[in-house]
Amino acid sequence: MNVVEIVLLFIAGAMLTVAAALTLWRIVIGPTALDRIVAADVVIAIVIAAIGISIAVSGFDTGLPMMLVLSLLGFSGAVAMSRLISGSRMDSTLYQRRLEGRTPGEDDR
Amino acid sequence: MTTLTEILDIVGALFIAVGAFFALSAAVAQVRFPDVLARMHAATKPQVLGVLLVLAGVFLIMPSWPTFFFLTLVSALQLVTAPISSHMVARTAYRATEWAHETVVVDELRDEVLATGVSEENLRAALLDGTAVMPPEEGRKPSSGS
Repeated sequence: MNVVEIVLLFIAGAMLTVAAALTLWRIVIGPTALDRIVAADVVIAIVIAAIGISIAVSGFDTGLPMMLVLSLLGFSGAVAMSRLISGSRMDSTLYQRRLEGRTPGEDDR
Repeated sequence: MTTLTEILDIVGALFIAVGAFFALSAAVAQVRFPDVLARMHAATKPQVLGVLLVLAGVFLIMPSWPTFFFLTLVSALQLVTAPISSHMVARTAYRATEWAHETVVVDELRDEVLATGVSEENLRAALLDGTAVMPPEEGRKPSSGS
C-alpha cells in the first residue's frame, strides 16, 4: 500500500463522511416518510461503500457478507415502507375518489 | 519501479474514490432537490453506479475468487433491486400526491387520472394540499346532502 492509494482512500472516506452527514440531515428534516425512506436508501449505499473502503484498507474480507446483507436490507426496507404508506392511505387517496360520487368522509356518516 | 500489484492498488483506490464522489453527489441532491421524485431520481442512479465502482475497486485491490463471487452477488442484487424499490417509492409518492406539482413540466399520468373520473378541481385541490390528500372542506358539501 503506497502513498497514492492511501491518499485516494482517505479522500474517498472524507467524501463519504460528508455524504452521510448531508443524508442524515435529510432524514432529520424530511417532511414526509417517503423522503426519509429515500434518504435511508442512500445511507445504506454509503455504508456499503464505507465497508468497501475498510476492506481495501485492512485487507480482511470479513466485510463482504455485511455488504450482501445491507444490499438486501435496503431493498426490503424501502419496499415495505412504501407498501405501508400506500396501504395506510388507501381510503383517502384520489384513486379511491374516482368511484362515482364517493368522497372521503361520506362513509363515516 | 512499480509492479502490477501496485498499479492495480492505485487503480482500485481511484475507482473507490470516484464511487465515493457519486455517493456524495447523491447526498447533495438529497439536501438540495425540491421533492420526493427529484430526490429519488438523483438518489438511485448515481448511488447504484457509485456502489458498483466501489465494488470494482475492492476487487482490483483484493483479486481473489471469494471476493469475486461476493462482489458479483452484491452488484447483481443492487442492479436488480434498485429499480424495484424506486418504482415502489415513486408509485406511492404519486398516489399520495407528495410531489411538487408546480415544478413539474410534464405530468403524463394527469390524463389517465382525469379519465378515471376524478374531477379537475378535486385533482387540483389534492395537489395543492401537498401532503394532505383529503379534499377541502367545501368540496365535500355537495355530496354530503344525499
